[in-house]
Formats: sequence, C-alpha cells, structure tokens
Amino acid sequence: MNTVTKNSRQTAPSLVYALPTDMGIFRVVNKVEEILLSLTLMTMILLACSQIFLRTFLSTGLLWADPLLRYLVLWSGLLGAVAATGQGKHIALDVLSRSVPKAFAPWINFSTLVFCSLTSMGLSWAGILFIQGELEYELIGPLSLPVWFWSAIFPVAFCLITVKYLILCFLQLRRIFQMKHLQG
Amino acid sequence: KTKYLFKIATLAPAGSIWVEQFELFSAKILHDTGGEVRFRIYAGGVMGDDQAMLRKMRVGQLHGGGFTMTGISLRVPDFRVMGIPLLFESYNEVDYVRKGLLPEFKNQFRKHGLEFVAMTEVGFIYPMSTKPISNYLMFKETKNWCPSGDPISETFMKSLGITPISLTIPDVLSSLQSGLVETVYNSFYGSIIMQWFTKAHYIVDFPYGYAYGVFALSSKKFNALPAEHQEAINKAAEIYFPILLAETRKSNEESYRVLADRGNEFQKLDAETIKILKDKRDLAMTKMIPGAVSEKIYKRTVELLDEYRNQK
Amino acid sequence: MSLLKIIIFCLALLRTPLFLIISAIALVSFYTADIDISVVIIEMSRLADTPILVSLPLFIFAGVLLSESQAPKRMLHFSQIFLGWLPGGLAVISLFVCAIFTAFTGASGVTIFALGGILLPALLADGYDEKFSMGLITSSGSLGLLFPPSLPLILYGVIAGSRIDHLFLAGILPGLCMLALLAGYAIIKSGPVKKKKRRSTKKDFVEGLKEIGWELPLPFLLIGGIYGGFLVPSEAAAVTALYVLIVEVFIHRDISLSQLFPIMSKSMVLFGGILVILAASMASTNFLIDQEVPTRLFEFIQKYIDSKYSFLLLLNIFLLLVGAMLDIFSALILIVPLILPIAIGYGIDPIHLGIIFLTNLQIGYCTPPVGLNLFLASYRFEKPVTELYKSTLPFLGLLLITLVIITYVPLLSSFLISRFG
Ligand code: NA
Ligand code: NA
Repeated sequence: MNTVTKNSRQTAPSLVYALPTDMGIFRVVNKVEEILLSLTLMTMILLACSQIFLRTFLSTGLLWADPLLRYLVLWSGLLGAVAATGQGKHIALDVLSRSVPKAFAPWINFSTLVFCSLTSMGLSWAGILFIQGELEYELIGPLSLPVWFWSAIFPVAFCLITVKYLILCFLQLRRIFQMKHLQG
Repeated sequence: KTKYLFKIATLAPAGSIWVEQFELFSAKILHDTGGEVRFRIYAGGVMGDDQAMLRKMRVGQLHGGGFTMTGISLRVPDFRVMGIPLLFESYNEVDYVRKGLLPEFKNQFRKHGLEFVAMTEVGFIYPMSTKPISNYLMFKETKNWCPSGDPISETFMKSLGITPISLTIPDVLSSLQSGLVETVYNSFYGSIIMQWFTKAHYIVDFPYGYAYGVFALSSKKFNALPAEHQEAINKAAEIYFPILLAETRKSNEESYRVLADRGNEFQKLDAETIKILKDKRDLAMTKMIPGAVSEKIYKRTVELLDEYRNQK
Repeated sequence: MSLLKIIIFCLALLRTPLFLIISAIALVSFYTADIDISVVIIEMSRLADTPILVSLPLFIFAGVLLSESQAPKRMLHFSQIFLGWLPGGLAVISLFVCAIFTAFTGASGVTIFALGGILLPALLADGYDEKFSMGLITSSGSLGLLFPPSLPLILYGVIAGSRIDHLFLAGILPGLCMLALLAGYAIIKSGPVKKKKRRSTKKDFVEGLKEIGWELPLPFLLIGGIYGGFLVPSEAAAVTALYVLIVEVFIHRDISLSQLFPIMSKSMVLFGGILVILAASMASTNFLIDQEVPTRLFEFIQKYIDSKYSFLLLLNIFLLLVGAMLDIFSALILIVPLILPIAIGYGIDPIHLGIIFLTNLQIGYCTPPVGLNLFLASYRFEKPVTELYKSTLPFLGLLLITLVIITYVPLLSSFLISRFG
C-alpha cells in the first residue's frame, strides 16, 4: 500500500494515531511548535536572501551564514519531525493494517506505539552518547557557539518524540480499557 | 587468519594515486605479518569528511584515515603550520622542514590518541581563476574561494581585504561553473582530477601555498599490536609513502604540461604583488598566533626554513 | 537478533513510521556488530554538511504555498486563453499545467487535488469522454517530476551526491519527450473539434497576461538564476520561496497573514517527515557500507549479468515494482544507496540513473494495483479504483514507451549538460 502522509483516510476511533487537538495542553504545544517552525523557516529564507543581496550589491558576505543555514535546516527538520509525531503525519508503509481483524487492531496499534517509543528512546540514547563525545572537543560552530550545542538538537528532538510516543501509548491503552468497559 | 582489522577511510577517490599506493602498502603489511594485520579501505568519502572520520575513530567504527590538513587540524591545530601561504618556494624546502617538524607532529598527534604514520601531499597549490590575475588588484576583484574550516586562508584573505566564499571541496566545481567563485586554489594534478581546470582557465604560476595530509591510526588500536607488527607497519610506511610523494610530484609535473597543452594560460605575478602578498601574510600571522597555530611551532618552522636557506 | 529484525519488518507493514523502522534496524545492526550506537547520530549529523539540503524546506514551502493559493486557477485560465484554440488544446494545456505545477509542488498528490477538480469538468465540457479525461488527469498527477525544481530530483541529488544543476538540466529533454508523447495522444483522441470555440481577442490576451503576470516569471527566475550564474540551487530556492510568499500573500492576497503560520508549519512538518527518513537511512546505509554490502552485491550480480543493458532491463522491472509499492520519497531513500554503486560498476552515469529512477517511480504512481495516483483520483472523483485502472491504461503504455527511450538513449539526459553544464 501507499504511504499515509495525510490524515485523509478514515481511521477507526478505537485507534490512536495523533494527540487529541481538543485538549488544552496539546493545543498549546501545537501553537508553540507552529510558531517555532514558522520562525525558523522565516529566518532561513531571510538569511539566504540577505546573503545573495550582500554578495550581489556589496560584494561581501557573512562567512558564518552558510553553516548557520545548514544547522537551521537540521533544527527545523527535526522540530518538524517532533510536530509530525504528535499530528500522526510520519511517512509510513501501510500494507497489512487493513487486513487485521478489528478486535486486534487496538492492541496491534498499541504494540507499534511501544515499538516507536523504544526506538526513539534508543535514538535519544545514541544522541546523548554522541553529545558526550562532542563535549571533549572545543569545536566552534556558527555564531561562536560550540558545535555540540548545534548538534544537541538530535537528542532533544528524539527525547521529545519519545515523550510523545509514550503519551500516545498511554492514550491507546486508555482507549482499549474504555472500550472494554463499554462492552462489559 | 586476520587478527587485527584496521578500517581506514579517506576522501581520496578510489583509483587515485593515493589509494593505489595505500593498497600496495597494506598488501605489504598483510604479507609481512603473515596475514594477521589487514587494512580495509573505504575510499571516496563514503565514511564522510575528515570530521566524520575522526568521530568514527573516537567511537571505534574506524581505526585510521587519510586526512586532509584542513580536516585533521580541527583536532591537531599545529599541524596546519606548513599550510601558511607563500611559505615554501621548492619541494626541497618542504622536505627539510617536514623532517624537522616530524617529532613534534608525532608527539602532538599522540596527545590526541592518534598514531602519526606518514605525511601525504597534494602538492603546491596555485591560484586558478576564470579571470586573468596578474597583480594584487586583480586578485582582490575576483570572488575568492577558501576551504570551509581553514582559519589560515580565511585570515590571510581578510588581511588582503577579500571576503572569501567558503565552500567544501565537492561544491567548488559547480560554484565555478555558476560564477559563485572565480578564483580557486589547487595543485595541477588536483585541478585536473577535479575538473576545475575546465573553468578556471588562468593559472598564476606562483605557488600560493602547500597542501598536504596525513595517514594516522588510532593509538589505542595501534598500541594493541605486538611490537613486530608495529614494526612491520612502520617499515612498510618507510617504503611506500616516499614513493607516494614522488608519484604525487610526478603527477603534478605531468599535469602542468597537460594544462599547458590544453591551452590554459599561465601567468606571472610581478615582484611588487609578491612583496605585498608576503607583507600581508606576515601581518595576518600576528592574528593567527595562538588561535590558529601555536607560537612555538611557528617559530620552529621559520627557524628550520632559515636554516635550510642559509646552508645553501 | 534476526528474530528481532523479522519483528521490525512486520511492524513496518503495520503503519509504523518508516524512519523508526530504519532507525531500529540501524541501531540493532550496529549494536550486534559491536559498534557504538552513537555512530547512528554521527551519520545523521553529516546532513549538516550537505549544502543542497537547504533547498528542500524552501522549495517545499514554496510548493505548499502555491498549491494553497489561487495560482493553479490562474495558470489554467491563462493557458486556455493562449492555447485554447488548438485541436486537443485543453488536453495539451492540462498536461503542461500539471507538469509545471508538479515540478513546483513535488509529487505528493497535490496536483490531482488542486487541479483535478478544475480540469475534469473543463475536459468533459470540451467534449472529451470521461474515461479519457480521468486517465489523463490521473497519469499527469505526477508529470513534471523530471523538471526543475522538483523535490524528488533534489532528493536524488542529496542521496547520490550528484550535482543538482546537472540533474535539473538532465531531466528537461526526457520530461519533454514524455510530454510530447502524451500530448500527441491527446491530440489524436480529441477528434474533430466539436464546438466552434471563440478565438481569444487581444483584450483577452492582455487580461490573461495581467492575471498571471506575477507567477509567470517564476520558472525563468529559477532557471535563469541558476544557469545565468547568479545563484546556486539552494539560493534559488530561497529566492523562489520569498518571491512566492510576497506574491501570494501581499500582492494577490490569496493567503491571509493568519493562514500563513499554519501553512509554514505544515511545510516544515512535511519536510521533517522527509528529513528524519533521510537521516535514518544515512545510518542504515553506513552500516551496509561498513559491512561492504554494496561491493559484495555488485560482485554477486556481476556473476549473473554481464551486460549493462540487461542490468538496465532488470533494474527497470525492479523499480517498477518498487514504484508501485512505495511512495517516491521512501523509494528514493531506501533504494538509491544500494543501487547506485552497482550501477556505477556497470558504467551507468549517476545522473542518467537518477532520471531512470524518477521515471520509474513516476510510472509507479499510476500502476495498478496500488499506485498512489489511482487512489487519490478515486478519492477525488468518487469513482471505484478499478474504473481508474482501465482509464489510465493507455497513458501507462505511453509512459512505458518513454521509459524505454529514456533508459536506452542516455543522450537524452546528457545532451543539455554537454551544451550548458
Ligand atoms: Na506520500
Ligand atoms: Na507508488
């Protein structure tokens, strides 16, 4: 099957893919993410365009602009991925889930969410190890900030993704027991 | 039968003289150690650039690498001292200074957990431009490239009043093509294998600087070898790396002729421009110590160079 | 450990995010090979050394903004004024408009959603039958993938380390070849003009030009900027993004400032989804390289296939299957790192390989049973998928013919590079 990049497909209400948008705390999170992402994007556009302007009209340029731009791309992408986690918008293959019997579906979804939590935990751990290694060297990146600072987005983003998946796990489990309760 | 596998990476492309000689070197070691020490090479930058290679050595995925001066100097800053612009005038000078600095380099590398095996070289680098440059002013008016992460060329160009455009080596060709940079720096052989010469038609026939690199192993892995295997590596290095230097220089000479035959124009710098460049270089050096290189290594280098020039 | 990998593969089929599947495989592989797992992040951090990556979020934003604006309508109206009088005019227009639109918005199905609703009624009113019209729109939903600044083209460049400016040039002739074949078919199918159409007047032309005046320079700005030597591709992306932003928000006012933040955030979420897959695949690919898998795979395949041409034939069959099952981004990211070294071993130029790759994946979009365009069109036009299978078939045939031409005539991809590269 093809990928699910949009939430165009109807999903059974018993399956949790995204954080509920009607809850106050998640609405705030969404808004914060939206503002952060828009600001990074605006910064990238303006930074790149001012480089062109400086070069063309004043034949000069900012040496730190290009490396900064490349790190901003990384930051915006990883923050975008954090947002995509909450909105259930990650690219995924979806071959078998429709042929899964309805009764198992919530449990299977729960186990994929557990898998997602574990893997993002693994990535967070790898990220922390990576930053520990980077701390040994005093390499300086753009804006006179150390390189480890710019790379710290990896563990930060993966930790946030882990938290979101853990919440999704919890929500899915709660949904399963609510359903049991209704049936019983 | 392999007891010790060294995974080595380099940016040099497979099939280049650097990789070819390295393969002979590693075959010799494999033979001399009765198959116990094997080198596996990942060429062409498949393991990433110098910085990624260093990171992978830190965590033990790689055990060594053929590094460029720019890349390894992020870890061992003093190693970039021979890259000071307009320092050397002949390969004899280079060889004399290198021999003198070797013990200090080896020491400093060990402090960073690296075993310095041998130096490699790209050779003398020359300014090559899409526009004719024959004097100081012309130099300034073109868009100059400097390798990303090379504080020496950066500071030097700034002292010349140039804001260089910093790009990684793989981006240079397309930027030459699009006119983003006009003046680049490379050896004759380098400009041919990287195709830069097709765009940078005018070549200033005056060595702007010297580009080199190093083959280094992880100290941890090297020290774990029995003494006779360490000896085998050093012995093979003594045979094959001098051959590599000679081969590199031969390729550069041949490339000079190829470029001339292809119709690339060689231009002379006038004496006044050279003097201005050297003065500005000395001015820039005051700003580079101790940020880019230590005072100690700089003094030693100048000392060695004077020593050689005086004995002539 | 192999049991663990089997479980991961099963999860992949159950709507688990692809980037976590790939990451999990990479983490487990490095862990079992006794290599520190932080290598995964070392590899991911290499993305910060990829200058061309900068163009991805910027072009994605420009594309999303364009598709949320009224630009598609304006484009269509303008083309109708200028080309409407041709036999088969509307069908030809549809093809061109879809191609340009896809080039700017990427092949995420936006074309079918944004243009399909306008094009289908127009085609039907012009006397084309429903089967033809739906087939045309479905198959042109991914047309234009080969034209700059299409996202998949850039992504291929990022993964293969090829030059973007060359890839942009390489795609133009094969893309035009595809367009020409489809347009020819559309003209034949149009038959005699059923309605006497009113020829556009001079006033119409002026009006039309005024309407599209702001968007019309966009392709020229982009191409001229890159090949005129003013901009590198990532800068061209920034200029495009800023230009589209100013035009759609401040000049046409199609998008209000309050809509702008959600659109920006939506584009970055889209980009984030692609970036993490790219990052994860950097890590898994590094494991394969570490274990020398591409070299061994090449040696293995070379035992059975000795000619470049039979390799290309097999490659096409393989890619058509992949294209039918995976979306273009996942397919590129997963398959290119494996195939590229093998193809180079057979003496295939990486740029040519990229064009072959994208053509295949584009065709995969409309191949039954699971091509994405078929589902999108079925959803958009509220028709059963099986009906769309039938209507797309003739177009599919034409696309396959182009694939053969593109594969076995490398000159088509390399000609412009040799002239302007
Ligand atoms: Na998709
Ligand atoms: Na598909």
